[in-house]
Amino acid sequence: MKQIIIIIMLTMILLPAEILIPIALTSIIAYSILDSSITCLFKRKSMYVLFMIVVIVQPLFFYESSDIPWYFSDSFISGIAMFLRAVVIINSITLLNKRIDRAHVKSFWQNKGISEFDNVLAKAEEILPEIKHQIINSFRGIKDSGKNKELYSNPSEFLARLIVPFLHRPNPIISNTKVDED
Amino acid sequence: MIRILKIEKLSESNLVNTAVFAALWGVTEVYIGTMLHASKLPFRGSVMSLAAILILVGARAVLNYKGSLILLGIVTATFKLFLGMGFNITPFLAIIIESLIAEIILNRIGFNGFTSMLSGLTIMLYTLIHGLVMQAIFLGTDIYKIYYDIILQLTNHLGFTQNHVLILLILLPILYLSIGASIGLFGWSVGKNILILLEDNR
Repeated sequence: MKQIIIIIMLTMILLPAEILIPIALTSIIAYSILDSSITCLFKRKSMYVLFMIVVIVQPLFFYESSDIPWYFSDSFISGIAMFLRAVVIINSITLLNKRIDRAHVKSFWQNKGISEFDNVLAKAEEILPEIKHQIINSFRGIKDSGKNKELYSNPSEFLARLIVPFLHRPNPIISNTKVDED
Repeated sequence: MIRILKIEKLSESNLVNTAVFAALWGVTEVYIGTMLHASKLPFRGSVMSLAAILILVGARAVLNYKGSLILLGIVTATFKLFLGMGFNITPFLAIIIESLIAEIILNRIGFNGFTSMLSGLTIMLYTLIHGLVMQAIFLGTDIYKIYYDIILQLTNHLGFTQNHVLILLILLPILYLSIGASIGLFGWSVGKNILILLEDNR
């Protein structure tokens, strides 16, 4: 299934506007049957804004010929193709996103030589809630204690103080790190 | 790429410190990124790129092994993919490329104030290109013509000359790159302060 989605996506990127419209419509229907939740995309306001710009405003702005009405012009057709291409690509990526599992990602990076990926990810997951909690508390603390001055006068030191408590202390590499004083 | 990905077995402190910066970047991406996404504010990607520059440069002061920044990026991108809400493939790609840029400049060329600025500048340049390339992928290259025509019509309406438009179009990337370089330098200063504090705590 993943391969078919990738092929559809590439087809959308490469095909010219005239041929694209029927294929895009078929793909949207097929995707909706496959996973009805992707129709939520049409509930987004941003999709209607995009539709207004590329399908309605754009041909009205750039319509030049007086022989045919604007809704038959090339810019209108290409506007529809643009909108449908965006819908199909967004849906394709959403479907791919749903089908990626963690084990796959882990084995992918390990195959590429990053054997430590798993250990770092596990450790990061372990400390993530604590870091989130501490950061929120630190910023609240500044607000409550009126230490805003400290933040504004030396923001780099303030940020460093925020990070240092989490770092591993007995680190021989840190003492060897040289920072050029320029 | 494959050579860049070869990472040695990590010591306890390198493992913990990489995880700390990955968690920090993960928190920023997942919570602030999601908040910005929901707010629909403009230049959301650029704000996240600035946070990435700050974390990558600051982290480099502590993480002194080859491949550290790419490992940091990969772990953060995985966080974003699995913990972030909604559409995460493009930020996933952006995080990996940003960390690759920082890895090449800060770990392969050297780590100092100048390279920190250079990596900030290059990451912001990538952010600009990322936006344009993604729009072309989603909407097709015709979108460039539409943007060009819209700018031309708008500026003609406002009475600007072509030179004015050209200056405006050049100024925007210069502004982007300058902000990126400044944040890179700021990140370097944060890194220096982290090292000083760690030395004091010994």
